[in-house]
Amino acid sequence: MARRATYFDSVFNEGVNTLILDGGDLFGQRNRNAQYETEFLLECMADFGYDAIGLGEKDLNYGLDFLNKVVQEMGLPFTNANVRRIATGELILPEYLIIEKNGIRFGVISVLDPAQRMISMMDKDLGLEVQDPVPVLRALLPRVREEADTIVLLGHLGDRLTDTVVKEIQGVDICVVGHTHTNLKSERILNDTVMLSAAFEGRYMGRADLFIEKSDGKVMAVDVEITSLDDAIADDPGMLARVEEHKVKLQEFKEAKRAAYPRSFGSEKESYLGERSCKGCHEDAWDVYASSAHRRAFNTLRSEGQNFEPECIVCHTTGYQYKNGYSDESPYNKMANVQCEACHGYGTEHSRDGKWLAQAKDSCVACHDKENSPDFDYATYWEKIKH
Amino acid sequence: MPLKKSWLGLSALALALAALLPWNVWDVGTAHAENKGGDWKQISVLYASDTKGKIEPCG
Repeated sequence: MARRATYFDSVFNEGVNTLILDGGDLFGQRNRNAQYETEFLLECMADFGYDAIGLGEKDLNYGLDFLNKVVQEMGLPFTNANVRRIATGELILPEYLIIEKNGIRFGVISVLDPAQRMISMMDKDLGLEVQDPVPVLRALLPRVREEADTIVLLGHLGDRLTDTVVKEIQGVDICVVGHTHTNLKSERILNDTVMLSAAFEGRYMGRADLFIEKSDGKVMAVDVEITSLDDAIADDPGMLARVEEHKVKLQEFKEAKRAAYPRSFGSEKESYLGERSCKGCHEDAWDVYASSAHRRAFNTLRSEGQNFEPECIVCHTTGYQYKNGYSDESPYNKMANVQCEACHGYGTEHSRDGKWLAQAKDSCVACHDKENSPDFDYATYWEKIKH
Repeated sequence: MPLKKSWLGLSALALALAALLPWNVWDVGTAHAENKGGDWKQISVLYASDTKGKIEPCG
């Protein structure tokens, strides 16, 4: 972010007219740490003065309310023309934006690939539908053209679908491709459309110097440059200080979350031995466990990007709130998943005197509660792991 | 008017021609392009995508 600030400053210092665009998927993973980080990123984006931001499916990771909040409170110019509420048919964002720069009126339209899954960590069902971008754009372009000289498409469609759409749609002058890890390092023209792409994770910025004919808004010439925001670009001191301050706050945020789940149970004298230790003597029981969802519990979190969320980890690992139980550091990270000792207690106790906890039902309902496991029925679920 | 594929390409051609001319005769630059083109307007589009919440890229 500190290098991006330097980059913007260097362009602004040239005194050129700029149009700053983003092709979408600004938001981070679906966990609260990433949301905290995304909020900071968005504050910076607002300060940079972005002109238009297309909607990517990840921009719904924190729910519609969060997206609306950043649009309204931070003034971030998100736009989208093909994502609607199923219940009302309304678009969730402005259908298009008109931006005037250097006497040219740009009509900016954004569409999202219907094949992308929109998943929110806030809502089980977002209640949204994504329409086919081709008929949407065919209907919309003539209307936008009435208000704009030059049409800009922020196509969050990936490389192939963007090409397909641009070929089918006449009248797009400039297209910024989103949902891609590809940089278009030189000029690419497709059906009279200037195609632009710079990705990803803030590693690159693209710049296209365009010459536009005022009378019809057509792009007459283009020069493209992709800049890697690497060590060669100095950090902006002001932004760097802001980033460092944010990192301190993020660490405090993480520690506060962990503090809500203190490691207050069990004994420092006891240890968890891990699933493989059980297998030697309890092979039949181990086979049942090995094929159960309990053994995939942590992968489920990881696939959702929630493997650093204490409120999730507590039920997807073994002994998270117990001394010597799971943590993300070695050797305690071997206690990922809901292993034997999650219900039966410390292996060191068992190996010493043969004792083990047989409180299966109580163990189950600690995690299989109404909120997280509404269909839980002990008799039915026990059959799945009977051993 | 048909879209020219690349200003960069034109620039390369212009520079090649400029190399054949004496100094101070050839005025290469964006202002030259705008004057010759009539009512052309210059705009610099800055763009990126798929930032994915990253304040600093991984690695």
